[in-house]
Amino acid sequence: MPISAGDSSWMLVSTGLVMLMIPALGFFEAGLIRSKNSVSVIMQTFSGLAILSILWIVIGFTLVFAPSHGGIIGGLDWMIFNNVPLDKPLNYAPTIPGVSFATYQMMFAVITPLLITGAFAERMKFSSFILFIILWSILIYYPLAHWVWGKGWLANLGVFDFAGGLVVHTSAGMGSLAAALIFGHRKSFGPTITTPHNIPLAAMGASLLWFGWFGFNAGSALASGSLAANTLLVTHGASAASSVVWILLSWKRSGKPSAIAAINGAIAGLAGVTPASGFISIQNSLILGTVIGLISYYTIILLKERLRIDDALDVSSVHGVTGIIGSLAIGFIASALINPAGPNGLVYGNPEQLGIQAIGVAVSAALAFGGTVFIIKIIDATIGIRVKENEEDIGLDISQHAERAYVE
Amino acid sequence: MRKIEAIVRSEQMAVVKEHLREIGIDGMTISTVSGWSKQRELHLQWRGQPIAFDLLPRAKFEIVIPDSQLESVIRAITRSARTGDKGEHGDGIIFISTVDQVINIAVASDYGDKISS
Repeated sequence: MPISAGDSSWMLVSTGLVMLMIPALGFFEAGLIRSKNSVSVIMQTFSGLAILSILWIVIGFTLVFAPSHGGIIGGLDWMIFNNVPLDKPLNYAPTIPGVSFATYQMMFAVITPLLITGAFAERMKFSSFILFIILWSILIYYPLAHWVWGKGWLANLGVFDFAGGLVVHTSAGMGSLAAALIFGHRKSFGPTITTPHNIPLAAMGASLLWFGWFGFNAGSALASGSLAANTLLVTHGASAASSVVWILLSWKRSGKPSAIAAINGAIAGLAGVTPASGFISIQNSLILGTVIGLISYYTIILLKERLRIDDALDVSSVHGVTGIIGSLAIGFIASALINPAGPNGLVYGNPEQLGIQAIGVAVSAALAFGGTVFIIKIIDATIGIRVKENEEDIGLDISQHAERAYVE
Repeated sequence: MRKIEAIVRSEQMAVVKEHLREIGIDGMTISTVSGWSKQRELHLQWRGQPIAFDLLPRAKFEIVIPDSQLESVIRAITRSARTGDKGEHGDGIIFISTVDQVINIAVASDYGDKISS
């Protein structure tokens, strides 16, 4: 098919929108933790953006999207972006230049491991962090993305994931759970530690993430037009519904409606609708957003308060559990009327898709959880993963970066 | 009545507060301040240039107590603010002075011997 100017323009914009989500993640997290660690999280996300972009260009794109070797991993055909076409499309996205597709996908590969910063915030060594995100990309993200999006074996089974419920959110979420369990909790983990130091900054981060998510989801249509339009609407609707649910739940629980709840609820909705966003109607999306809001809110209470697992920013609940819900929801409410290239779910006459989605969920969760345990244990055995106790007390900004966030 | 001003490392603030609460002090004023004494300066960087920062983050506690509580308060603060068992330069300092009068603004009466802050 010929290159479409309309589609290409939208994909260029979407690439920028998703890139924006990476520093936005840094602002969101920085605002939610203590000020003495806020520079560290900005540094993790920003340097991660730089490092993982290079990794993608050198080896990532080819491993994920080059012609498959046995459905397990791609070859090295496009290493360092060699032979990636500028003036012709790739089969994945038939109306945009090949490089555009490859660049758009880069932003997904970069942001996924950086989501896990939320789990080990306030206690990870920076040098170990660099090793972690590189190993996580190569051993977990690249294979999984190939399996689901690169014509790998999960795609061949019929697993669908429109914009990253499995590849991004389930993987990062389960990786975060593993990381939180191995790291153990922060010193003096308890009510005093969870006070956000800058709610406006967190809200700015969340707002930029919501905005960028239009590119994350609607850009995954890989074309402009009606599918992108519906996907954008569906994304927005689920986020709004989930945010309202969280506001109401926090109001009931603490007597006052919480701004932190409002913004976290929105993020949960956005993450959860991601896999289904290109397959469902806006009406179903409002229902899905409500379900996501309810389950994610109570999962945090279960994991953090009952089980005392210190996933500092609740990535496993806000991204992991919601990604799983959305991925399974495809098996219920996906409709080929919305997207002829997608499946039908149970509600629309196809009960088999649910089982197939469940396989995708199980594989993604297992790979991410087990792989993260493996990677962290290796790093811990060699250079160590956690900062010393007095470094954690003084704060990572000073101890890891010799910088202070706020100086008179 | 005595006034205690204790200047401690800012990262110890929560710990000191808890120890004071445990011995029955539940009124105090805490401010975030900066200071330095003989502790080495903080070495930071700015665009790759090393800079020495001599204003170190501290927490300041102001408490007013009856004379009878003086020893237990000093003990609580030194135990909780000290680094490890033997302490280090920069752990902080306590100033003790005498207070003439304490007045509760809400009730506009003299507290006498029953106050904290």
